[in-house]
Amino acid sequence: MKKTLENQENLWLKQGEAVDIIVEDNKVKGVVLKTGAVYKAKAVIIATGTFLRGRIFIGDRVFEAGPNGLSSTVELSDNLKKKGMKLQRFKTGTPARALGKSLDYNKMEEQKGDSDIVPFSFMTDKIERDQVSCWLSYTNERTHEIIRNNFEKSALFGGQIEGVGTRYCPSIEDKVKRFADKERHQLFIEPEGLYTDEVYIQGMSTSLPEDVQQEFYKTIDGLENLEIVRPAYAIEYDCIDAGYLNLNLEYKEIENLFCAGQFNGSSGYEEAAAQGLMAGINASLKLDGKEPFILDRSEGYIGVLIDDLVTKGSLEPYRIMTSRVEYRLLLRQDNADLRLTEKGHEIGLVTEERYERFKKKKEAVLRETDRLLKTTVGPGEINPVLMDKDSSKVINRISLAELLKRPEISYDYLIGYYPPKEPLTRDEKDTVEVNIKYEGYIQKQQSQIERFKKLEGISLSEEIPYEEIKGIRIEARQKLNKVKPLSIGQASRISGVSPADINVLLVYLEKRKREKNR
Amino acid sequence: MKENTIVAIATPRGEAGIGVIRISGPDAKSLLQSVFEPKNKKEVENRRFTYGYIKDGDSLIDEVMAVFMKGPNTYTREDVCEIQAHSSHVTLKKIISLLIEKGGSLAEPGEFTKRAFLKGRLDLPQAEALMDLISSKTELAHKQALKQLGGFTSHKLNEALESLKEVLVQIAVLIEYPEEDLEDINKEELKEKISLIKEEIKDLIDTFSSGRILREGLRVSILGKPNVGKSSLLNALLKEERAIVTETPGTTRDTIEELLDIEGIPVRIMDTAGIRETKNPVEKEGVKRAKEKIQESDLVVLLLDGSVEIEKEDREISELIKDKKSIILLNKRDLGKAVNIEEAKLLFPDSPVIETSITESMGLKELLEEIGLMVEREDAESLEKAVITNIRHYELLKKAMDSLEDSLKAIKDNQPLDIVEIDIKEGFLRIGEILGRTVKEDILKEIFERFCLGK
Repeated sequence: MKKTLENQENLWLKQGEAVDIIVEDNKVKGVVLKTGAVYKAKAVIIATGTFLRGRIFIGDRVFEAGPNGLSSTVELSDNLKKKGMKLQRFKTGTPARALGKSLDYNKMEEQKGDSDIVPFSFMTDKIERDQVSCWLSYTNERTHEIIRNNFEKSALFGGQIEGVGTRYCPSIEDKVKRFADKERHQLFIEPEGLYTDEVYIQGMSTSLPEDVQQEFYKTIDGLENLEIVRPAYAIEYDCIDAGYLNLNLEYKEIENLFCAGQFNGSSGYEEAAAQGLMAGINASLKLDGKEPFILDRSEGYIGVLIDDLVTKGSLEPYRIMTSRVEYRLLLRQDNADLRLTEKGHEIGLVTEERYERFKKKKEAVLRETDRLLKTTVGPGEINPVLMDKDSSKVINRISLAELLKRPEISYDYLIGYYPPKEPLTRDEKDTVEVNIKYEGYIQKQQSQIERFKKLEGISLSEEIPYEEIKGIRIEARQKLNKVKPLSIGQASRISGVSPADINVLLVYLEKRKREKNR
Repeated sequence: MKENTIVAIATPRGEAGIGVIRISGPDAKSLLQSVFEPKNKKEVENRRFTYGYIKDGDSLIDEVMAVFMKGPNTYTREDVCEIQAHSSHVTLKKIISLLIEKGGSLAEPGEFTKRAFLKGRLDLPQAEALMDLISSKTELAHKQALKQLGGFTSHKLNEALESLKEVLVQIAVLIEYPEEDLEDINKEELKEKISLIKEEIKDLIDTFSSGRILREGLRVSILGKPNVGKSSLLNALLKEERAIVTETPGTTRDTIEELLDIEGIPVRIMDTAGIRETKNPVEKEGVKRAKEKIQESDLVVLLLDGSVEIEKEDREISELIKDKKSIILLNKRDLGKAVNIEEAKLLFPDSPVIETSITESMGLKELLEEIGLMVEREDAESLEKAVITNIRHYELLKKAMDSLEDSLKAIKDNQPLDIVEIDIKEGFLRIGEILGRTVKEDILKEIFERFCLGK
């Protein structure tokens, strides 16, 4: 990856600790490094992770630090506050790293990787490599007892930590306390890499003192002789409420200043990567004087992630979840390229090679769908095929697509009898199969999306004096004023804004339009 | 995208010969045709009044005049239909519910006017008024709707909401955390659970057009000391002499039932024997029966003799009815005002007190209004448990039930949980809407409260 970056044309990598940003007329102009060096810039992206005023807690030991033994940055935090940014404290944690050779793998359950590796990239057809296993083990009553006896030594319960923690990754002392009747908690031993013996004890983050960690880890099957390389810790850091951002991740009060990742109150790698990408794209579009690139909730998980963060604000560490996604039947991984490649191509982020591939796949999916819809079979030949799957017989001719809608008939089974001229790739098959099998549901979501898009399409980008619109309830006026939504759709998702408020807003917009035209 | 077609009762509540239902939107005509049968079976023509019937399948609901007006030269600039029906509120609601069943949506307060404005009609000052109207009316409507949701109904709905939430949390955990060693969902149990909720909702929906009060009438008993004017009241209400009225106390020995129509609500009036302790065996039987009737009635109308002081017997009667909805009449006001109205209110703090003189026809109208209010407004639910009277509730319940039905079909078809969840969630959200709660975040919250998850 580093090499890819180094080879990127027009990209110059510099390293150093940024301690301040330069702002003139509410516009960002550059950054200042700790060394005193000044880098002028037309746009700046803040992505401070958990480093901003990072503070680590291990039992009663508290010290300023970033993750992984790196130092934290305090000066930047002070200077951002001076620029008027409101910072809040969030908290997360990480488990201990241990030496693999100190573990007894015979006492744990092996968790093999997928035998059929689904590549992350659509440019990769197949991945063939030996996979390293993970190992599953469980805590037990003895583990819990040690943890319980040391509750007061945990920084989490000691009151030293002010930051808001995530619900999604509780520490082990949290689990033991909150789920007291649970007899065991599972943990995974995950290798840190192919070229190291270090392992990560997933599920066991803690802020208990190092000696207590040593003690309770060793009660676990397979970990009896555990050698800790680095202890677990809790870390607290500064971040903003993403409610202060626009949907293009630009900070509302300072032009050309973009923000991404944990700094925006999210938690998790994918969440951070997605925002980094979007902040980068939008910073560059802004400088080119182009329209911002915003994915909406019907276009991708990224859209849901950023819309949630910006529209609802981040009051606790945010994690993307399937349950947050309204149109998840359409937002699948098998069709991610079909959904997004065209958009990426428009902003110049897609290579011709990738684009060609995408067009080929799109065509293949269409062709095969068409074939399944048009190919019909008679009862005489198909009934024996159906009987093998306990599927009910047909009386009249029926299309392959119609058959594929039956839950018990899979695409692979069907093409065993009726193969296409050219075989499809895994992704293509998945897309064809899902589109046909769940056609009714997909159509339902599609029509919901149409309704959604209509509200999304009514722009609120101009300055609207919400405080002056009497018909809107006061609470809603204040919220609208804070978020300054870009569309009626976004406005309708702000908590505290009712459908009636939205109707009043619609009438107001029409009224204003007519007044202007007079 | 096609706009939805909205329906609403356009005329105000109250006594009138006809009531108008308005339909607006792209499907206005087909929606009208789905419930309206012209007498001569001809096509409905543009801008021509047609005489015919509103029918729900084969059953006749009302005899009406209907008109279809093609847009854009209409109030909303959309296709508009109007139905002139008989104005009984029950009939109008019935027609609205039928239109909703056929695919119409209930209009929001001010929505016809909003559409008119957004499509270019109305001038700017009217827009100001409209903006005020939308917010104030909507808030009021929501408050009233919530109030109309009786304790029993909202209890039932809360239960349904909780059960659905439990199911959704279970499914969501399986979808979000496939790696956790969690128990799989038993499809049979899931089916049973959802069927049960669906049935409960169906029962509630059924009460909308055929709740007991609407079906059998509101049971009202008339109560009071002998000779205070109970039978006169009944007769006045019926405007005909049915019960025997004499000068001797204790003549009405049996209880008599009569049926009235108040604002379309059937009201069953039970004239009861005067309540007093007596040694006469025939009368004793009558008193006993009267006490039973009180228990059975939804509403008690208590007559006090307003021309004399409140007596011990009156106080005893007040004890008998203290757990009942009641209306107090200070009767015989023409003969004198020995009891003042404050005194009576003190004795019956929870009941409306009306001064009447039955023989002079004074206060009768107020009494009828009060009974009408009891039924129509928030008291309807406490009188008749679990009844749906609000059209919006009906609409949302219908949607919830349809979604749950879809989910049951999906389970039956062996669809994956991902698919099943979509319909269950839809039902869950609709029920939350009825209860005036946003429940979207509830599931995630519950997951992390109930399950120990995460790295």
